[in-house]
Amino acid sequence: MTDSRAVAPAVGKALEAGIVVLFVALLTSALYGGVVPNARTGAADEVSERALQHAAANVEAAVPSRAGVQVDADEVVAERRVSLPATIRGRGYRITANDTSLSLVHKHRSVGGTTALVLPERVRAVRGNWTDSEGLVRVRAHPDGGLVVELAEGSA
Amino acid sequence: MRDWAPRGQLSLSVVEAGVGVLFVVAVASAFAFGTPAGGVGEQAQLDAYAQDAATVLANEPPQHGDATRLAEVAASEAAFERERDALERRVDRILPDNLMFRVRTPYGEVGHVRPSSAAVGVARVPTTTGRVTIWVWYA
Amino acid sequence: MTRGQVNLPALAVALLLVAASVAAAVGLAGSAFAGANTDPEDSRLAASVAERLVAADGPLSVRANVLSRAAVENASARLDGRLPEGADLRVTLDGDPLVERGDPASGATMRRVVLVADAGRRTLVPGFENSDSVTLPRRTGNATLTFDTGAASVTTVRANDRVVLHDGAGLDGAYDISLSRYDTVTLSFAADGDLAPGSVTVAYRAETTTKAVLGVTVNA
Repeated sequence: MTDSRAVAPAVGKALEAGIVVLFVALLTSALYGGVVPNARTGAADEVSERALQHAAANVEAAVPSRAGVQVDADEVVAERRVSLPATIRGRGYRITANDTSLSLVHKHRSVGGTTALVLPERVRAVRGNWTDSEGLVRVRAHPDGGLVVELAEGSA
Repeated sequence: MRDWAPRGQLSLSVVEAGVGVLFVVAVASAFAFGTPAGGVGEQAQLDAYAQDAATVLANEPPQHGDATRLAEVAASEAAFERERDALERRVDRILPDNLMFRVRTPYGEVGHVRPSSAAVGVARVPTTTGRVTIWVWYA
Repeated sequence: MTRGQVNLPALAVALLLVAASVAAAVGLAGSAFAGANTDPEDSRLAASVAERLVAADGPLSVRANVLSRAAVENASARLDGRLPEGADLRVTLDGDPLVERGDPASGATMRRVVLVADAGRRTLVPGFENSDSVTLPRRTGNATLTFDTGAASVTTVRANDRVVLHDGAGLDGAYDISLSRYDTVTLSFAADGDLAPGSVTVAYRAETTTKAVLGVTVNA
């Protein structure tokens, strides 16, 4: 009769507790090993795409729509502030302009992208980059006519 | 010796597990309600329609005198009273059929009553006598 | 039957339940992520291209929110190279496609209200029976006056009391004048004699506008 007796309750509880702790440890390592980093990368990808589109929309909106008054060469025609997220996935990033497109560069390989800019013909070039969370779009008049768009740091 | 089948005890573990499952389901329900739809936003589209209507009115030749149709209707109270029907008809013709509008000038308003619970696009045009505001929403 | 650890199988079942619910939640999160991918690039490109086409200095525009009928009929040539690369897009006017590239069926659409202007050239030859002036029946931004006077020569031309042409020796030939698009204009001629009918020809462009809806659909 004694060999078919159960374990003492205290030992039983300790066993249960041990199993539960093991389970929690297993689950946590499984989640943090695969699921959580993938989710963070997915979220970072979405955030970076939206930040890039927000930046592109603001660069396009900064260009004034009329030829406007005659200004001297290199004079600033328009300025616009753009606010961007400070970090994506815990790290900084850079937004660079390349005449007809805007790209977001991030150290993680699946975060970032490039998008086209729709600008009037008067805009000759778009250059500069943003690394800060406060960006500035500066539109200058080119000496030979036309406009040049610069991305400058907002805190400068 | 008792038979433990009919007189079982509710295992505390099952209760604890039930509570744990409830927590997890509560977190998961945050995802289940869905996310906002994509495509061009309703607000952005309505704002664009309102801006288009304002631009067309501001650059149109007037019915009678003054610089543009918008300037004419905002010039004085008498001019507004005279032009309000023509203004309403013109805006009605410009905008697509599924839109309703309201135009406010310094001397009065024409159009439907603005809804309080739907997205409304707005455009404002400055004139010499004040500001003309156009609201547009889906019918 | 041995009175085994009743708790341990119950515990195992309970832990299995928790693990299953966590797996279900992770799956739900994955599908929510997929649904949250609203593709902001499509809507931004559609809005930007529509804004560009409607702007006063757009490739098809005469002025803000007014497109020229001639440009619209030649849209694919005019818009060549002005639209963003690498994206399927379609530009429609009142539903009829003007430019189509690829298949943007599942993309974002932006619509703008525009007027399409038809510029027709008209000629008016005033017969100077009662007065030395003529009122143009349509508003126009500019006109070309051709003088072919015989004995009398026209020295001054006024548009709504504003002098637009003046030559003491008499105007001869064709002259372009600019007028206000917002006013009905009355041209009055000052001559040093009686003007014969047919000595002045007024050629002007009368614009008729029709409303239309411009749609831009982009699928990047």
